[in-house]
Amino acid sequence: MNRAEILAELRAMLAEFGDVDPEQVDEQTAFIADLALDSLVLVRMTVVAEERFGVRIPDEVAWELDTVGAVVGYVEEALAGRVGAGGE
Amino acid sequence: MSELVRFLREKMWLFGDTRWYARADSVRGELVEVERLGYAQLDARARAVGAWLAERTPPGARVLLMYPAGLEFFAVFLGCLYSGRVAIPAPLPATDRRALERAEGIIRDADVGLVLSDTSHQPRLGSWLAGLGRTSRTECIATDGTDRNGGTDRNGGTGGTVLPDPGAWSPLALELSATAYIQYTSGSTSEPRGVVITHRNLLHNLLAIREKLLPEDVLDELRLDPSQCGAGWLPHYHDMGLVGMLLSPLTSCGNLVFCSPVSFIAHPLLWLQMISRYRAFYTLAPNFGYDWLLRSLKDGQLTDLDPDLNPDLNLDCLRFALSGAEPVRADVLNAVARRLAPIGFRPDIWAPSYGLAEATLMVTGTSCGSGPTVTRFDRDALETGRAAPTPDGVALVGCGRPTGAEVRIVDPTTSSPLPDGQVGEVWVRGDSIADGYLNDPHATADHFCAVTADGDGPYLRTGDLGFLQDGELYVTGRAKDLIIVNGRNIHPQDIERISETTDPATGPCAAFALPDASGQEQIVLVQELRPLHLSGRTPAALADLIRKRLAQELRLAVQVVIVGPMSVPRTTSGKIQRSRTRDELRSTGLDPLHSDLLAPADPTPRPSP
Repeated sequence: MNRAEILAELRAMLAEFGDVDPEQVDEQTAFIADLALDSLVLVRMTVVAEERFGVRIPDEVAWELDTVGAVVGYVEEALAGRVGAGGE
Repeated sequence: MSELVRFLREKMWLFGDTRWYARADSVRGELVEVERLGYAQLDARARAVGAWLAERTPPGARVLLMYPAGLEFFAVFLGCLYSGRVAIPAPLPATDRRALERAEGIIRDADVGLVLSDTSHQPRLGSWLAGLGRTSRTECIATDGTDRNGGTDRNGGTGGTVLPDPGAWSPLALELSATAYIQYTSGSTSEPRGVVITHRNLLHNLLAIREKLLPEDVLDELRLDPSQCGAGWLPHYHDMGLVGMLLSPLTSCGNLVFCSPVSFIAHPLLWLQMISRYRAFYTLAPNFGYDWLLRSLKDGQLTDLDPDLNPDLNLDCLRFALSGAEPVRADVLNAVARRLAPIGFRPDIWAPSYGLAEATLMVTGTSCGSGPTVTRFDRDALETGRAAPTPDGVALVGCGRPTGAEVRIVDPTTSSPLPDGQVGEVWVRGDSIADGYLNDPHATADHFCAVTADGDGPYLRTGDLGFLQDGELYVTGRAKDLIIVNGRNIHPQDIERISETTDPATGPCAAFALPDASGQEQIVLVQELRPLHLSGRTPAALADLIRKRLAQELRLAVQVVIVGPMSVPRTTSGKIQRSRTRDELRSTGLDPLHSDLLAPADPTPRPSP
């Protein structure tokens, strides 16, 4: 999965779980400060992202991933095996 | 053993492993049962924990329990009760960014010497504890060890501790006045507040809950039918999760299937799957849980809950659905009942209730089979403190009738008792009311020792506003400034402190909840500017900075309103006044230099990116 594919999947997840228009989303978009997503949506997105991308996102990492770009970067690194352990 | 422990163990002896607790999870959208213990197995495990604790800790030692959702937590909690050690359930960082900060506050406040967890969390908790630099060392031990060859390494070991066979050990004799556990309420982050619950409190509340919710004939059914089951997903470190979800089934001889709160939030359908698969006869949650289910169905994979399309979902087994622990909203009850009707949910099974940790759990409740009481009241009259039923008024949900407690409505300023139909503060008295807050005589005196103007007391002041009407309690709001969003209790002080320290240009401020045009609560922060420190930036840029900081620190979306110096109303002694700020924002708009709040007509105010 490359950067563009990860971004596309995140846009789809934001539309599905947060009712966010994918057109509004770029890598600079912040989940809470820009999109006003609440904590329940973020918890759900984190768990579903782990399942869909097959990567582990530890809680202490999840708290720091506050923009779309930060998540894309983390998932990309994790898939390349540079951080964290892979999924099941 | 104490009367409470005898009462609980009696059920375990009577029913052995014919009754059970099971935890479920969602794997690729399917429900999977991941663990199960029969009553007798649970008792055996609790006895092993109790014997082990009695061996290595002094009587009354405080033990912090930091476990993920599951049966090990419950067995260890019971083991603490058995051995007269005081359990303090606390969340792991999974659900709360400030969990470790909170836990640190609890360790200091309660002088905790031992933290118990499981093998997957122990290493991280162990190194966190070592880094706290406390003079007396606090240890972290995993109780779920399986390594039989020297798995008892105490520091940072991965095998965990294998608890020895308890042999003939039996639970300690304890008075009912002994402390059972300490329930920390959310308190502001800087000041954790531990409610000291005695064996008497817990036993009394468990019996009161059973008596209120389950009429005698329903209870008889439960005793005779080994298949009757409850279903839930509440966190065990919360009073409703601990007492209402985990302990209550033992009281009523029922089974329980539950999942972790995170599993429910991530896979809301799991709740419905648990109810359907196990033919649950009751479930329980705060309002936000039902609301979350509704929101997730709206835009989720399921666009139609037609039974033909979803043959696995069938809720016609449910005989009551309890809603409690936060304000019960009539619109949510109606919407959930409507949405779930095609798969068998009936609106007359709603069982609203009211309670708080200071009263162990439940104060008022609705019996299985009696249905909810929803009444319309005149909105203007309510604002003046009078409940006047009227056909086209605002719908309020009755939270049921007192459960073994005396409920009074009292004028919060004069302490005069008020008659039915008058809004005042809810005061409560009875054997479920805790002794007070740990190490906090001032707060204990303020909250637990209230006396009415005519000399009646002591009562617990709940801080909630409400009225009694035909024996039902209606809760209308909070006397305190607490903000409640998605089941989180947020103290405005926490928001204000972060905002004030964001930038040299941020002065005093006030945070509060304000409903938007659609009735959804949103959090608003009115922030004073220090123009000299603005250094050429715009007020909007400052608002942006504050919004981002609050999002990062508290995971909250806050609408920021920037005003000039001395624009936030204060008392004569200079204390900011939140409710007056809110009222003035609504009436005059406060003449802001910048405001995130869009025109009131827009139902979804959002900050511009």
